[in-house]
Amino acid sequence: MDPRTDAELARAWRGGEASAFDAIYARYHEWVVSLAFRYTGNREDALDVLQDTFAYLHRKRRNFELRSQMKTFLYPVVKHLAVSRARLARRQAPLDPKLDPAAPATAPEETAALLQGLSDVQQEVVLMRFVDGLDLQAIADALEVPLGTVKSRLHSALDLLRGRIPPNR
Amino acid sequence: MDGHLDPLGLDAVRAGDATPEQRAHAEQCAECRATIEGFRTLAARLTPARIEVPAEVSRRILRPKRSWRPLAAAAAALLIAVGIWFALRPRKVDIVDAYSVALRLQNGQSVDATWDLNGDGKVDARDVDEIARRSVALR
Repeated sequence: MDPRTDAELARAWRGGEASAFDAIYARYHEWVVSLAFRYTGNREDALDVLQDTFAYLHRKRRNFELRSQMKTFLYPVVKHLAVSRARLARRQAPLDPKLDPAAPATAPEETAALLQGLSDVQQEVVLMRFVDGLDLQAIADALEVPLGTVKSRLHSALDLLRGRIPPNR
Repeated sequence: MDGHLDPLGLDAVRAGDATPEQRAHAEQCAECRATIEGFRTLAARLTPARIEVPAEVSRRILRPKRSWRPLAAAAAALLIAVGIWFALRPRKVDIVDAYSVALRLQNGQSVDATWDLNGDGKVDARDVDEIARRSVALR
């Protein structure tokens, strides 16, 4: 495990150190594929998005400068690629995640059931907070919305979810 | 702190980035702790199982094959350049060659097409002149 920070790895990689890219990949590839699955609902498509994401990073190498957290930088890239791929897949052949034998345990429809009643934007911030582990500022940066908007969305979403927790646990 | 933690405060305690006051309240308040635990359970249920990334996929990402196209294009260009140079290179000839070709033409014998030095598609008297000219040229 490379002890350097993401920013240090990014600098080293821009300077031509290939192993720094390997370290970035080792650190984030599982999260990227998991996030991609959230939007594609299909393992193969998620793996394709993983490749596309790191290919995109490769193309950015010469000017790559990490000004925020790595997840904040990667989130919109993965989301955009995954949504595009999912849209394309839907046009070509409707996919049922239940048919994917290698699908992870929490399929998108189960997530939707757990977050039922929340708007899409509320679901998104809850997942970014609960699953991706991003802090509120990082969520705001990734979504390019004010911090207050993130707080408001998360507050209302958690208020609703709180009501579903059984008492006297 | 008055009352219970608000949703963001509860979540802050769950995520481990709460203020000392929020943490202190959570330690003393069973109701807030229950909600925080409920959020933890929900977070665990929302977290998908790990998706195994095949080693082949990782290898393709970390060691992408270099495209052969630029290399092939460069090789093809080099081959063409060498071919053109070879075809157009000044041929070393001797005045005896001019005589020999002239003789074969006069006798109606076939002449090797490589003697078409002026490039007009046929070997004739003008090529003989060209051979002669080159054989006596100073350079």
